[in-house]
Amino acid sequence: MLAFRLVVRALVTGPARRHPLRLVLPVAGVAIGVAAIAAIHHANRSVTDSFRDAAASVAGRSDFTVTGPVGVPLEALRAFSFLWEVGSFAPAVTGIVVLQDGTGEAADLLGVDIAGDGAVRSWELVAPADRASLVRLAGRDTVFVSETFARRHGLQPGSPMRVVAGGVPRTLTVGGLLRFSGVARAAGADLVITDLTTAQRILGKPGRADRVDVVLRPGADRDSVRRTLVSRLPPGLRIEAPDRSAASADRMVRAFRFNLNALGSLTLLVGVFLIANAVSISVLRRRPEIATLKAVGASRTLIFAVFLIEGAAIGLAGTALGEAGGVFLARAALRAIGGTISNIYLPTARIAGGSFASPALLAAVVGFGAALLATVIPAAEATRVPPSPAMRAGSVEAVRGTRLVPRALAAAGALALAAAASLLPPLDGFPFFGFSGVGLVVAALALAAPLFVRAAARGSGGPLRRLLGAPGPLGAGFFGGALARNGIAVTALAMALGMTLAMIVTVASIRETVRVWVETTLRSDLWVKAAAGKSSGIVGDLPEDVVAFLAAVPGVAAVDPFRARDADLDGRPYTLGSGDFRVVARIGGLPFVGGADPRTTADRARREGAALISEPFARRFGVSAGGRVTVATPGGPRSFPVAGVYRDYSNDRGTVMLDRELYLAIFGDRRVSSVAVLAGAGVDAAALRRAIGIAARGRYALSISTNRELRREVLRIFDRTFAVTRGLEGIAVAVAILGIANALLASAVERRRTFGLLRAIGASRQQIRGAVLVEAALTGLVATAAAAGAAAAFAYLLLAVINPQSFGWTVSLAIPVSTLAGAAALVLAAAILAGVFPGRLAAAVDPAAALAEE
Amino acid sequence: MPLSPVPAGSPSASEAPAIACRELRKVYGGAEPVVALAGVDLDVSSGEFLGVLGPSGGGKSTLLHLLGGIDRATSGTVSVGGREVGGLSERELTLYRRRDVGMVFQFFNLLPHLTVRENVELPRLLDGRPDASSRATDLLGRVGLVHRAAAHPYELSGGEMQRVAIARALVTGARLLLADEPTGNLDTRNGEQVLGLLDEIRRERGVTLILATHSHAAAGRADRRVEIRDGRLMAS
Repeated sequence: MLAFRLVVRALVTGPARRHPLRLVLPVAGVAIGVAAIAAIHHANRSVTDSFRDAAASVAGRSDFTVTGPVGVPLEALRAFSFLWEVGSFAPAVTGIVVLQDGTGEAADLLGVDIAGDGAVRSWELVAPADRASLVRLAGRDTVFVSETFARRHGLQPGSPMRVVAGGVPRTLTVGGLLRFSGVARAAGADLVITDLTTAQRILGKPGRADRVDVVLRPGADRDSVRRTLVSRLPPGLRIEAPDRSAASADRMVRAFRFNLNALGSLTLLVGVFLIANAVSISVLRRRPEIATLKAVGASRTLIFAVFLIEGAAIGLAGTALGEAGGVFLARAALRAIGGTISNIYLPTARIAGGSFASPALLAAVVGFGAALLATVIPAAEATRVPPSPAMRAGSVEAVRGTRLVPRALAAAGALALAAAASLLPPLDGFPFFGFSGVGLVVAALALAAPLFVRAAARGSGGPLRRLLGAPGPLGAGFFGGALARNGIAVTALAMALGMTLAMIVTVASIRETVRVWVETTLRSDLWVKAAAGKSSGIVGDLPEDVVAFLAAVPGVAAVDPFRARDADLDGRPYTLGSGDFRVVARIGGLPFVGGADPRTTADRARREGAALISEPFARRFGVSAGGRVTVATPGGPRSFPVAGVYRDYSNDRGTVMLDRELYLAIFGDRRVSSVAVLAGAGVDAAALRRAIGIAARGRYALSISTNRELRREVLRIFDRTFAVTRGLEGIAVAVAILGIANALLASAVERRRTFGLLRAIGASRQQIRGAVLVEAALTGLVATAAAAGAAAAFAYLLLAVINPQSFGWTVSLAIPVSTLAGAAALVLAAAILAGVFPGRLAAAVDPAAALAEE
Repeated sequence: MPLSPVPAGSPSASEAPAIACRELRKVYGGAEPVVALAGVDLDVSSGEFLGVLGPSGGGKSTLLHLLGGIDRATSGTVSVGGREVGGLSERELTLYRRRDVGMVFQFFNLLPHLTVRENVELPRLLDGRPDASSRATDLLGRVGLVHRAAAHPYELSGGEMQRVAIARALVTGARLLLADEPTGNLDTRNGEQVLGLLDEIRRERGVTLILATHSHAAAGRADRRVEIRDGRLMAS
């Protein structure tokens, strides 16, 4: 045990005490990775938890929920009467209202049977105080809100509350305040509760509930009740788990969260390389001590264990710091992510910060585990240091050099496997093999990096000598002389930069594809939807009469009402939409996969009662043009032929479009989600918007965008969605630059004697600084070149494999050359800058002292 | 290929350095200051081979470092070829080391990641001379290692490494050659060869050679011997 302690002191704690700064960079690398993982996981977890809490609060104590394609007709409740013997049930109407109090916030509206809802959901009225008064207070246009909500919006019992509901301005009255518990917790307290009738009326859902929640008494036979209910339900209605809406909401933001997770992991991966680099440097630097220890009898196991302990210590310190930083980073990430989700995806989503325990634990396990993993290879390397040759400088690198051929073969093998993986289909909808391909490319990069280093060092000596004189070949010699260390630094930077460049290409390609798609598809002059406050998307819907109203406004040539609602197929959500196919048949503008003509395709679909499906739907559900798609309708499942598959980048869940006439005949759902308006010849769109606004005043609360505004808005939303990813890419590259600084700093310390010698034989300080900068520049250049190759592979996997398998979009390649060149140049400059301090350190070496160390 | 006695671009033999040290002291600071040189007076003639004999820690290396301009004296003066080394600026000192002095060390001190040729060329390259390559070839020929020019130092024997180090020390045409225990890491046969080579080259080129060693046999090859012990010079 004493021997172990002495060995630890000789190899780990002693050097650490003497040169504590050497530990700063690897610890910082792990810390940044852990903080990023903890923060992102916390934000993602909070999103999921918030959706689940909101869904659970609304679902209350229900055992299951009954829904239908267009809700549950109230006359169908007769089928539920048997439930009184085993429990109870409560219908509810759900929707969204937008507050007109200057905040522009959206809130969920829940309409319930006030008197009978207590069996399912919990209520606690705090003002006025007793439960009985709730029933008494409930009346036409009366709502109940939580204390928190009332405080934030300056409301109290009796206050008028101006809102937009179903595209129509309304003034409601606050009947009472609820304690922030039970159902009032839903949507983070941004929930407005009213009686069923009011909700039906203001949301335009007469005679229907959106859901009926069923609660069984303790001891009731759940399966038997379920079976009975299924047998009595009218066609089209179905039973589902009460929290299904949470899963649905969760899925909606899947692409966004997925992005964050991928980039968080990248940051940690770069951190792992930093640790591997640090421990590798430790081994190289301490090989004389290792040799001495082995010469006096230290076993391989002991040496391995000691370096593993060093890696564990770095991992532990980095993890602890990362967790502390993660708490702060998590707040910022939650703000950014929560804001994006509620602004873009789900207007009423209120993302509350969940517990930090689980993300902290996950980040700790991943960070610490990664640190240990990163240590294993260099620690194993340490065990192979032979006692005598290790005393001779360069011997370890020379030994490594002999392994370059197997490395090259392994790298080629990894690339071949990556290519093979890219051909495989997704596993359960998840592009597992695409991600495996990314991992294999990273592995190939790590394996090939020493080869790149050696080739660059050998090839650059001559030209650099002609260009820079002595510092040129010296720097090239330094670069090639530290194959392992520089190989790892190159890998870390190439990986981070490669992924960043690939993301730049991916984002630019998707953005360009979306831009072109928007240009092609948005042919109307104005786009009308219900006033959405500060939200960007569609919030609530519009009454049917708005179509006739818009058509009657002077200057309007045609209107195309669009309806979209949530639907599901085999438990998987998608969007069911309807539009006037005659408009497409007349003006085209809907690009079809395979180049089918939109006009004839839409016309045929209309005539044959066929559906048009979006490309993500086709990929997710494996349906193609000429196939059939089954849609749940109020009359039960109904199959439609598919006339064509159109390109759609507005959602990744997939859409089934029916002609409005057919849709109305089947669903009877006459409300519209938005209306596209075509201006008459010579009519100015802005003037038409003003005219519609004036005509709608007091009748409808509309949000009207011109074609140009809408296009700009689509791209603004797009950019905002990817803003967080840019931040994460920046972090990963910064961590990798730290890796270069770390490697160069280690070189400056390790090559003290070399620098002393160079000074002794006449090298000036400037020449030594120059040589270190040449090494830094070569590191940056080789990493940038490797990154360019890796980026091409990553971009291919992201665009051609992962993206189509995840989201079902076909994306045209766009290469933003100047952005890529700018990013690469910036990183190259940063890499050279990373050599400034180590260069100064190297130049400051006192030759006499350095040589006296022998 | 034998070298000409006075290489082109170098000072003539008549300009070769005469060395004069006066009251040379070097004290290393610290909790307990160490006096490495305690007032050394020494004169060395141009083209002379001086053996500096003494035990480890006696001050031999410190004396060579001060003569070679890689360290500065605490007090006293070092004059080489009439130039006061202690009075040189940092830049002048770098040029002095680069052009006027060649050093050979016990542990060879070759750069492991450069080839033999590159190691030899380096000081000439540092001086920005375009003829580094041809001079390196000449010198490698002189020390019998042309055939190992592309090898790396770790592929050589100790004796070969020291011969490379000698070639490197001579590549700039230095007139003062300082050898610090050049045989300390070699077996007897290789040690003899290296000493013989140094002496031959000294004669061929007319350089001044100062050899620091703890070996009486090695010092015995010198024209003159001095002994240094506890930082003081004594007649030998």
